[in-house]
Amino acid sequence: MQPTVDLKRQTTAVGTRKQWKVRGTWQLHTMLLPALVIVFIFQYIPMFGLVMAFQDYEPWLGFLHSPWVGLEHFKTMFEYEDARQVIWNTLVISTLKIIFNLAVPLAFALLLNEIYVMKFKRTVQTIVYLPHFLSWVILGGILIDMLSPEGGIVNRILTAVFGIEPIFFLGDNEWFRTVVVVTDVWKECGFNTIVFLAALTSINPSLYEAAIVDGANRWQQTIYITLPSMLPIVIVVGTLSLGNILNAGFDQILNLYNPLVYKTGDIIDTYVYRVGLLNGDFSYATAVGLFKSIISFILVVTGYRLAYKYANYKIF
Amino acid sequence: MLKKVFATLTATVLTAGMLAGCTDNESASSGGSSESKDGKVTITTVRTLKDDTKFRDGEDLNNNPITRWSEKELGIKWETLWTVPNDEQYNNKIRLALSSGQKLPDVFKVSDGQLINDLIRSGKVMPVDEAIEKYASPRLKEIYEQFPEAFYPATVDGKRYGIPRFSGGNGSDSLLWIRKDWLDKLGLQPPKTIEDLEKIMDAFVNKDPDGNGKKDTIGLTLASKNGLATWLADGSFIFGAYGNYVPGSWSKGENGSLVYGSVQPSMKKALEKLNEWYKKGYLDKEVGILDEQTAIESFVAGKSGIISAPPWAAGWPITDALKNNPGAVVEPYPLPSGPDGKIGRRGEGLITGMFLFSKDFKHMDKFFEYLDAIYGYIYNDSTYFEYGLAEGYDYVMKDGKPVYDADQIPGGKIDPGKYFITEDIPTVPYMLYELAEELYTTKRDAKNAYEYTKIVSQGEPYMKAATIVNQQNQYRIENEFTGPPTKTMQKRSEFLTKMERETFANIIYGRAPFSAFDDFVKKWEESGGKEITKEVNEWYQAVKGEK
Repeated sequence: MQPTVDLKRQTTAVGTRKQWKVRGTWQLHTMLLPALVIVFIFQYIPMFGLVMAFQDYEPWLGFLHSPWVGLEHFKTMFEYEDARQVIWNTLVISTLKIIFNLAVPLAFALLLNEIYVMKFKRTVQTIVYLPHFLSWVILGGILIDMLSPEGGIVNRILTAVFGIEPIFFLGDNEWFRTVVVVTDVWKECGFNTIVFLAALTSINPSLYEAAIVDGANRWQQTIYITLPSMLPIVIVVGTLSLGNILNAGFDQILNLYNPLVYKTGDIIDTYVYRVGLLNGDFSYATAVGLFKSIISFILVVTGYRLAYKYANYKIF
Repeated sequence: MLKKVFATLTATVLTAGMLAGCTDNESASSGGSSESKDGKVTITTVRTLKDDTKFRDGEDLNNNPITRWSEKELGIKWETLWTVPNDEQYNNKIRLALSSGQKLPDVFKVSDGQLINDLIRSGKVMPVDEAIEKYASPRLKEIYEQFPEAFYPATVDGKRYGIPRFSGGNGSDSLLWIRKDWLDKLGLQPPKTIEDLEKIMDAFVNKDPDGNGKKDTIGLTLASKNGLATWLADGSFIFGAYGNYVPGSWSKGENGSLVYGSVQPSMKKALEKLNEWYKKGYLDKEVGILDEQTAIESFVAGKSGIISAPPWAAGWPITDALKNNPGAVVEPYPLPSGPDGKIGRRGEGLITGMFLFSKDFKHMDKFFEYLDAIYGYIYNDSTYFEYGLAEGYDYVMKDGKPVYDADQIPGGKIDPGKYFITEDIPTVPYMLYELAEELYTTKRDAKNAYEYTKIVSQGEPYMKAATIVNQQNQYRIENEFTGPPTKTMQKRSEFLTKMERETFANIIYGRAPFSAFDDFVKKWEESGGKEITKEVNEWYQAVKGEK
């Protein structure tokens, strides 16, 4: 999609001239070329691989000669309970993640915005931002230690403060999703906060000044000025995350899940990984992956339409 | 006009893409075996290059003492076309070469059963029966005749397509490592039976063996996340004590056909035992989520008294445990027997991969000459490697005698065995621990470089453990299915494995009644297990029928 946007912008920039000239702007276009080539090679060419989903793919026959099976792999997908289970798990986990990854950073940004000691604000921001840079492989190990029912710090605190029995967070179907959502919010909260903080700075200060003249207190200012001004960016972030609704976090789940919590923790991506890479059933794995992409695509388009309708927000 | 620009742009991008796609093709086909004018043969290969392969300054896979030796003495020039750091990437690259119709390297190793099968069925690799007959040295032929099963993964329609790269055979088989200082402190004897083991575990949990006044120790370290029969913190001996099967393996059933271990009735008894142990606190509370790496933490931290691990564990993780816990003594012991006197353990496979050959490869004679020359090193009748592999790398000569100590070798010790196309010094199954037993029991000195570097220099605990493993060889329960995943397996094994792991974990944790096992077996059969068993046996009959 990138080229369309740019070319359009170019035409408007050149203005009323009917002929679009490369001569004056060729340097810019040359700079664009490598990006285009990379997108084409790594994003578009691999798409041909999707035909695997409709074939019984055999590597030595390739896409061209593998036998066609039509929609059989999609049928298999709905035939067995494990596929239905992972689709459901994925939906639940990612919906929770989207909600909390919007709400928590938003609240956090609003609170941070009230702090006027710059040094303190920056320090808090940096600390919250840090986990974003850790990979799930490392975090997975740390979390297994921290959440251990035997001597894990979390359980020690729970026992000492509330006097409750240690909880086996990572091995309990009732707790696993909570752990996944909480740890994800903890990791990504700082990053999302930055977006909201940036939006906060762009609110016209004269609005607040006017409100103060009208006698509004901080709480009223937040409700009547800050939140409505933030709405578009909240909707954008929400819309964009809709496209990820079926990405419940492969890295995270792969590093945290185990047979005890398959029931609530196994998601489409981990399922595809096991089927495709560990079992070598490429066609079936592709079919599941394609199914996921189609649903995501529909959600993004719907979300975008809604955003346009209710918040008059348009990307292109 | 705009359209035109677009068209040009698209065309440019397309061409660029196609070019990028093509370059690979060309570079790969420029290789290939050829004989140069001086009579030397160039053989191309590809391989994984793991972190532990070290080079002296300026050397690489195409230029090192081994390649120089091979070129000078055998007239073989090795050309490694590419390397990747791990097997997964390696398999992907080979698979890519296969599906994009690139030329395959002359010689290359594949360990993935399905990939081996794909390669064979693509018709791009060469059958080797004739070459073995013609060129393999008598001793290689003898090894091949001794282990015909090693060829099964690369046998299709009665023809053999690969040369096995042998593993140690029993190299990763487990035995018990127990905290001897805890045993002594509590006045206990090493276990002979599972019953003894239970008494020991009970004492380890309840009698405060580490003397810190807290009840914070456990009996046995197990890794169960990736299945209960595995390469470290292995639980297979518990299953072996109750029957002739271990989870996740195909072994010979009573009527001689292959049956799947995880659905055999003896599993249930072992699972009941594990549940009992879990309830009594003998196992880690988190045992269900521990993989091999995380499981050993409790042992290393001095919280656990027993671990089931192969002899090489003497190096890692046992040394870590000793370092962390001053005064700790860890000793190797044989696996205990069950109530009917049964003992069993997960047996490592015979091979770690097959060498396949491009069908255009013309120099099988040279390959076998090279392979036999390396075997000369372990049999100590080599004219090339009398004292070691390469002077200044794994040994130096001092006063006319070879010295193997790392600190005597300038620049440190480097193992040139890793430069061989076999990626390590090749072995014959069971040979290493057999030798270790001989060296350990007779206390004789190492006769050659191989014995010294591979056995004696590894230390006494290792030799003792290897001896124990070797003495328990008759209890090995090996996975006899080494073929590619069958049709139904491809479709269903993900579901079946998931169900198996879930059921086993839930039974151990007491979240499901023992009858859940019977339901699992029934469902396993119905959801494809029956077909899989049939297909596995068809494969077995087909490969077994041949030489």
